[in-house]
Amino acid sequence: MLINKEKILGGGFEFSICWVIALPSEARPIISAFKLTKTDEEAVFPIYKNEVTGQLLIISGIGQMNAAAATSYICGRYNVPAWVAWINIGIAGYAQEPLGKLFQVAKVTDEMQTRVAYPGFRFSKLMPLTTLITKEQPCNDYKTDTLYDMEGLAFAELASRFSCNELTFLFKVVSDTNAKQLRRIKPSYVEKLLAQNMRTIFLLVDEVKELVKEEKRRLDISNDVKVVLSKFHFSASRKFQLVQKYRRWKTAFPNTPFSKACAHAKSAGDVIHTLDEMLISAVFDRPSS
Amino acid sequence: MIDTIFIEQDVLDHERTKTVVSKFPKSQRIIISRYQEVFNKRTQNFRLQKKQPALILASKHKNFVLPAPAGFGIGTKKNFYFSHMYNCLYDCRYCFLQGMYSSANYVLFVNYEDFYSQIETTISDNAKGRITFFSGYDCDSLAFEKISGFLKNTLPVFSGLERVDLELRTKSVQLEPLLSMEPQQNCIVAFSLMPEELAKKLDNKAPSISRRIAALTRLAERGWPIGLRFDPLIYSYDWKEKYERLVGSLLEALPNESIHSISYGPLRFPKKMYSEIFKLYPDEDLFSFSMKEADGIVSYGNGIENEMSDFLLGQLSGVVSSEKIFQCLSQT
Repeated sequence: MLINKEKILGGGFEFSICWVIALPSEARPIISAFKLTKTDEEAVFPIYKNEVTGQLLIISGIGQMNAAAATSYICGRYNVPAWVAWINIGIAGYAQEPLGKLFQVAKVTDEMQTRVAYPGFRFSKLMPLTTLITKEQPCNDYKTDTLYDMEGLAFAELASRFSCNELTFLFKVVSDTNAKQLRRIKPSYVEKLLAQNMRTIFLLVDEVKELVKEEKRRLDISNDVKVVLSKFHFSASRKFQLVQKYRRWKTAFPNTPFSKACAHAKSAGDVIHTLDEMLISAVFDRPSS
Repeated sequence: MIDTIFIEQDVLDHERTKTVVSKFPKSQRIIISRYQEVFNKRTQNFRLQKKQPALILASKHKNFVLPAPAGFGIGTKKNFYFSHMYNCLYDCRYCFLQGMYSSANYVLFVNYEDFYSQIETTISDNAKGRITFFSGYDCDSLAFEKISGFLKNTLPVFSGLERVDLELRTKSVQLEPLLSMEPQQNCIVAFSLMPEELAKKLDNKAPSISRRIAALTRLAERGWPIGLRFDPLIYSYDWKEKYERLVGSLLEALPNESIHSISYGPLRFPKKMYSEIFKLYPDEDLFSFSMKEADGIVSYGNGIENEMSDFLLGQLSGVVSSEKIFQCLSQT
């Protein structure tokens, strides 16, 4: 059901982070802190966004199936580019207190340890790292030094395919322990656990955005190229050549306007030829470079 | 420096694991089954990971010693290499490792003794003629020494072997244990070199060329045979002047008799590897120049390669015996 698909290329909306969160109560502190508003009323999952900060948030529901579906859904529906960071944040069980402690997950497996993922650029200065086991059913017998949730693994496996391991993050807040078990999940309690970590979460988001910026610089197609692509017909292989040659040309001649360099081009072939001609003189370590 | 250590379950109790881990008391440890499950994941981003590589402590199970690629060598017909470590502390923009591995994490194999055993077997299997072993093919031989202690353990294995040479390839100025040991005449400490101006732009995180020259001078004074490695030769603006200055400073700093060998080689990549590296660093000035592709290899082309080789040989001619000079034509 791909309706109201928002265009990114050529539009003003530049996504930087996609949040995938299981419960509304886990999402509310994030929605409030990052000033996200409900959007896309026809979507099959609740979706929130902030166009200014480039954040999207989807509430998946509990379990791996829901997490996988929501991650794929929002990626396809919004054509999320490869440089966007994916964050799953939520509550998790842990063997020991303190409740409310925030962890970054460095390794996530299923119960049988047959599937494993190693998500995330590590922010070990901001919070401790640990491992996570994603279970199919709730449990209340937690082994030492491992968190337990019901979504993390499926999310990590999918999101890293849409972006990369280093831009896929799992952050978990300890909600219950062997000593203090939850009989039922009380939304206000969950909100409080997340809310008390917002200072760290703000710092994390700042760090994540820096990584996203770097990846965007690496992967995004320049406006110069988009203009040329709209002007002339490029076959798929010529388009690939254009993107590569343009990057090399721009590095070699950062101060030359592309429109000026290609002013006499009358076809896709002319553009490629012009770039080739100029790149012959792009010797490494030139005085101007 | 290392914030996270992934440790294979099987080497958790290995003495060397404990020693290495004790050097990073603040690091966080994650237990894994096999190093490949972290290191070989396809969706990793080498460039982002290189900002903060983790250390993986593992056990190698096979392929301890491998034949060196054709065209790689310093005079002997039988050449082998071994890699106790994958990846390097430095971040050199032309390095093939960034196109070869999907991970920038460091893998250190702690079962050194298995390497030694295979080295001994290789020596006895090749009973006739000289053999050269190369360390530092998939990592820098010296840069991680303070942590790994690999050389300290390995050099005695080669001690007194008259028909066997060991080359340590490095850019490091970390000279222990070499300075505190008696020099071994069959162990060549080979420094990778390029003009200072180029190294500043390409050899990220590596010691400057002047520091490398100071280091190799100290080792030469101590009596270690020195290798000079101009590999790859980097084509650049004013490259002749730059290489002339570099060769001049090296020959001024080093007594001729301390030079064991000089090797040089062109900048070449298999096409797929070049494409991977370009994808990682599309804004790297080194890749702006139009390289040529022939037979699946991306290079400057024969014209430039030959011109650079001839020029370098001209600089060395009459100063260093031609018997000590070797061309390296391997394509990683």
